[in-house]
Amino acid sequence: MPENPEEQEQSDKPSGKTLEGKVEIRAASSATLRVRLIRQSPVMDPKKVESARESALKLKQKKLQELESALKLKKKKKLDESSQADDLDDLEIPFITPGL
Amino acid sequence: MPVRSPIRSVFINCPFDEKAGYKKLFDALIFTVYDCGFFVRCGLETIDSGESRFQKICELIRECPYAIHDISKTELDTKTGLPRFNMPLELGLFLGANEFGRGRRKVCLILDTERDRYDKFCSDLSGVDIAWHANQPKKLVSEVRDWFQSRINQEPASKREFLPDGEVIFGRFREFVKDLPALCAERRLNRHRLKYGDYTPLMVGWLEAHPP
Repeated sequence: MPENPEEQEQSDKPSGKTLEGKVEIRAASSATLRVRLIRQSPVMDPKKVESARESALKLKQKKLQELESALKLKKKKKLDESSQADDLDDLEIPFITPGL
Repeated sequence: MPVRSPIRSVFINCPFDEKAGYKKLFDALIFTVYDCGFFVRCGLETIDSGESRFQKICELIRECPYAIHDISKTELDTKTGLPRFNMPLELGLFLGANEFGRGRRKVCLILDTERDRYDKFCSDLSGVDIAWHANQPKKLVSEVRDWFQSRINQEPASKREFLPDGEVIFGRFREFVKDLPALCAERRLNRHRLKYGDYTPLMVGWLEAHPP
């Protein structure tokens, strides 16, 4: 709440200015609502759930990071291999005459 | 204090003891329930020595509009030579509540291992549409998902949604199982001796971090 009640009064009135810009409206998907419904369970301890949710999120993040670094490593390996192949292309292989 | 009853509560009736060998199916089952946007209610959720097991089950059935009854593990106990009757008893209780109880009509899914096996040990159920999973978690996930989709199709248009295919849900379940050791290690939990009260928040937290 604002400290000055006048400010509060002013903020409630329309300013008369026209604001321009993009307004993003996101509707919650039914799936999200379905998950949120779980918290209404009469026997579920919300503190325990919240702590488990945080741990699960951390774990998810960690797995994502691991996946990303594995992908990076794979990409790097692929690049190294292709550059090695390029190096081989550059090599001058001496012509060997068979039987001599 | 009475427990709040959300519209999408699902009472789960299945064996919980390790001897029954139902653990893999149970884990896949509850994952599917949550991933489809419903809540699990079962006898494992609270430990109250002051309340009888039967009372607790009655309370859960009263609060849940939906139920999944898996009657596949009714084999004879190797030690006692007697069959497991808890699942058929709880199924009967649920059907009775639906028949004689007040309020909204309850709906259930009955699962077994084979298509018509139940006819041999519970013939009063003849003519009832049941689903079978052949003890395969993947098949169970698909059957449960299809049933939830059929329930969602009955809901008001604004709440209707398309659930992903059973194979997609099963794939998500496998991802969760892969992540479970790391999640347990962070909490210093033994994943082989994970209790229901520790397992479900881990699963729900994971689902929130991995929206479908």
